[in-house]
Amino acid sequence: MADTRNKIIQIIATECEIDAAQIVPEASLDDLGISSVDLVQVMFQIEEEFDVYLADEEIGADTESVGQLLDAVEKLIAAKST
Amino acid sequence: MPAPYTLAAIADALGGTLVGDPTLVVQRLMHPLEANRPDDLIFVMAPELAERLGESPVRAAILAEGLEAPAGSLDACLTVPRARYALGLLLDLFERRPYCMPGIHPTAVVEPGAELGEGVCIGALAYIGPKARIGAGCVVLPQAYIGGEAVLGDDCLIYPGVRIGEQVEIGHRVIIHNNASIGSDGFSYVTPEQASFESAKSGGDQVSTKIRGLRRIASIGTVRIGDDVEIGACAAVDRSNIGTTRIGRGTKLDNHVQIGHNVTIGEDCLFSGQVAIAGSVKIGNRVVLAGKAAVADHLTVEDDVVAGAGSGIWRNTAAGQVVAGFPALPKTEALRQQIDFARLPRLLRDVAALKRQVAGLLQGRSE
Repeated sequence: MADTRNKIIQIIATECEIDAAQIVPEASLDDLGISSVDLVQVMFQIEEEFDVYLADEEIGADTESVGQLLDAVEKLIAAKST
Repeated sequence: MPAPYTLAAIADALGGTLVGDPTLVVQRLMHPLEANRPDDLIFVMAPELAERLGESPVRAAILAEGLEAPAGSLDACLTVPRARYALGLLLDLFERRPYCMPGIHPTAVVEPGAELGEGVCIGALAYIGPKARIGAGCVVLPQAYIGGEAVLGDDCLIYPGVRIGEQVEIGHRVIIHNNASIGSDGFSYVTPEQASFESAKSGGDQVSTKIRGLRRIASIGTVRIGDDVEIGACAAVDRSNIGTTRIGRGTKLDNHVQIGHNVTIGEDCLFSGQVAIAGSVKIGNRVVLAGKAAVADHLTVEDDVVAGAGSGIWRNTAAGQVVAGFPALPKTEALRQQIDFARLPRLLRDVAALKRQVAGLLQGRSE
């Protein structure tokens, strides 16, 4: 799972042009300057990387922190592998 | 009072927390990367610029809350909350209004019956039409045109090349930038029978009627601009056919904004560059339209709507909605459509793989 987290963080860092060191679970997307348009691109890249589909209720307007995003993607990947 | 200022005076104007020498005097407000004198003042909003303060010759800086200057790099430091608001207050202190010789330039034309308020400045080659009224303290810069019977409130600033049509009414403290046009005729035409652009609204892919002769509809109405409005360079506000095209108090229009005839815009709206509002649209108060957003004719956009860049508003929009896209949709839905569109190639790959699997299963069953 640590590898998954690192990949997600790297996707966020690349798509949003943010230093990966700042992308910690407790950081809010707002504080990191990640806009809703950025989040769409992050979601798309995560879907491509992990071959999953993220539903609106999993990630969307209610996603406020990096931790929420990491948890949602990890849950999906775990469900996919079972 | 123009510069120089002490840091104490700047802190009085901006608020915030001043640390260091309040008697320090600054002459110029400069960009952090362009400051090169000890008496320059800089405003720092980015962490990477704050980190480089030790390399700068400046002795005083204003920092956005949350930033810190390297120890010993400054003699005075003012930390302010809501940095961009503070920047607005600060720039008021250092703003230099364009120069205009007091009084009426010898090459300006002021027609009979025009009334000029106390302290007005009329620049070279400006034209003030008959019976126009120019309020006290107005500055009309060179080559501006103020039509007959037009009214300007007090303390307006009219930049070069602005055209204000006949009978247009402008409030107090209005600023109109270079080459804006207020009160030209509306874009309004009619045909003897129903035209293609009318039948196209309800019809299908083919027009059911054609244009046979366009008749001009004259614009005998006017434009009324509220107090404290600012209108950008090359913006255009058309006069109404009958009645008044209105822009409410405090509204700001960026460069190249187009406001059609008979439009009503409320107070404190903010329209960025190339926004286009078609005729007879009603826009509420505090509406924000980002660059290139467009509103189709006769629609209503209610209070506090925010539309993203390039939004195409084709339907009435309820108060407080955030919309984006073309045609404009609630932002969440527009973003969902964007990701759905991006998903299509993978979805097609997945469907192709599923079809192969199903075909294999069916073949296995038939054998």
